Amino acid sequence: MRGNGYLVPFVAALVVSGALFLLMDMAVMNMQGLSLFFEP
Amino acid sequence: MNLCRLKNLKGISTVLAVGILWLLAGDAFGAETASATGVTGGYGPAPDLKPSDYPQVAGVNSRVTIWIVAQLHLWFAAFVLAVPIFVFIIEAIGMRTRDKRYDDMAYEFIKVSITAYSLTAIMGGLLLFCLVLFYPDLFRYMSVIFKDSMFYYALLFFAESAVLYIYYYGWHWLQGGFRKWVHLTLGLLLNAVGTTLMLLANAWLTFMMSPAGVDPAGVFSGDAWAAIHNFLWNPINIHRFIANIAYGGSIVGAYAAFKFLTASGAQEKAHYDWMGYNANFIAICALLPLPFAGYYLAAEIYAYSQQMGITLMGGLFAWLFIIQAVLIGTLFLSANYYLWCGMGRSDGAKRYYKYIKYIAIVLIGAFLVWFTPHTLVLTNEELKALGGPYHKYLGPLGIMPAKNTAVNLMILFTALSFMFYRRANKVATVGWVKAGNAIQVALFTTGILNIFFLGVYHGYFTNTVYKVAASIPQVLTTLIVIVASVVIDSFMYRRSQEAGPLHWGRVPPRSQYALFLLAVSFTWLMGLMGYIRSGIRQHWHILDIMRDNSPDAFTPTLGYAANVVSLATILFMAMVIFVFWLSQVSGSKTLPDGYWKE
Repeated sequence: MRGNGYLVPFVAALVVSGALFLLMDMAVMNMQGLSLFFEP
Repeated sequence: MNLCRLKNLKGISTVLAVGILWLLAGDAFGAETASATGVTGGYGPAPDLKPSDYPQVAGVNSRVTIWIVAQLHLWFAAFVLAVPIFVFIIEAIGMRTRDKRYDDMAYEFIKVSITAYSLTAIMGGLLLFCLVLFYPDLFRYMSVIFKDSMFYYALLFFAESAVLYIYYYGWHWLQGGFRKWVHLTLGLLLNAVGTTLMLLANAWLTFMMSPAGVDPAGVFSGDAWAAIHNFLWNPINIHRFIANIAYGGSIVGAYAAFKFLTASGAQEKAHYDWMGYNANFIAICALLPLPFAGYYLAAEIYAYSQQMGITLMGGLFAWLFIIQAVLIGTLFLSANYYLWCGMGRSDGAKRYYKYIKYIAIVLIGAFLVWFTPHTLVLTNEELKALGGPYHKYLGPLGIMPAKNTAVNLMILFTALSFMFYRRANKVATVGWVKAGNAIQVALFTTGILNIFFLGVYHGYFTNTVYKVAASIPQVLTTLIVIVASVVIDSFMYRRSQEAGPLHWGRVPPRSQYALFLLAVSFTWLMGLMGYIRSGIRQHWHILDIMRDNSPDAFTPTLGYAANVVSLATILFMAMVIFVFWLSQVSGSKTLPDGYWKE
């Protein structure tokens, strides 16, 4: 990850894909009638 | 000569099979069963058998005989159903690219399957005879319910044979332009018929696990579709369809390895190296989604019968799943190892060598987690020393969330191995290479973190409902990372340059043994898992409908079962080597000087 040629797209992709995965987790768990975080 | 003999035998067995099915599956049986049980105008209940109702033939153990014959039939059937699927795809690729090497490879694949097809039919005929001889009442009951599908199965078998022979023998005749399209259509037809055959046979076996279309006493309602479309039919269909492709790929990979190791010239070695690579590629492509299909099948088994589900993975057969994990781990390791060896074909691969050790570490780590048992088999002394049946640190790795996390990582890193292999001989020319690589690294990073989050948080800090539910986003994460990375890669290397000429045939012989290992592991695995799938019915021929009252109505020990499956595996591999050898001798010619009149 040396230099901006790598760093900027890496950080941007990290944030975007991380958020998208989290959204997907929430959606899939909701579709099964559950929340992402445990509710006893 | 041998081939002709086999084809004759195949023809005879086909005719016999159809004849017997015709006789046994007719309406006469329905009437006979009904009158014997006092039920008129319909179907009788499932027969209540006594040990004396099971014929003893020449002191032969009925169960072991049926077990081995059915398993051999299934292995060959899986192979011959799978090969036409990828032969069709390879032929289509050849047509599109106009690269004759693909056409030649597709032809060679189907050539191997032709002899295997004869053996499939022979084993199928043998299985039918064994069922009629050893389990006549069960077969009669099944024939009443599935009389129509058995009859159509026999007819489809004729259709399959006819299309296969035209497809194979007409390969060189149907070349070029419209003729090639006709040939490809025949390939499609062959696959349609073959898949329908598999679906029908799957209906019979899944009926035994999740009977439908019958009442609790086993009285058939007359709705044949209900009996076919039983609860576990589609889960098995999906699982078998994918598994067959992976299995077929591994067997033709072994064939290519056999030919590579026995090849004398560099050109021949290069050809079989390329063939082995393609076979391994097919096997990997199907292997990646296979654990998900297996998971779906297991979940559906649980959904249908909790008792059957608990017997499957939480009870008697749980330890066989440890062996399963070892074998699947072997599959992944050998497939990866083959890819790493294959990188030696390219001079440009050196750029990626440094990453391989990290992939190996992850694969081995995931492999170890996957086969860590939850409950250990211990002596009293060991139990006391440990303070209970679970190990303090390793025990948590024995539950499904840990294994789901491990398998998802194995799949991701196998895909990564493949991407490195694919890149090995390419140099990207697009201006956004750095950004593309960075995005892929970020995608893998967040994907892995998400898999860990779902596995650890939901696996250890929530309840069972959450544990099971979290496995779905885990799977989706893996699929998204693979698909997105492959898409980025394909754009990034669209107008790439070659790092140098690719040296097909420049692989060490040990890489070919990895292909053999793949085939043997697959075979053994299918045998063991097949035993489990069948064994979870325990003392029932047809679950809760028709009880097994034969002298063999007990579940054998795991050691005994493993020995039977191992014996069957050895028999199958011997027959497969025979098939390979036949293909070898069919291309050999002897010129007997002075034997024939001039």
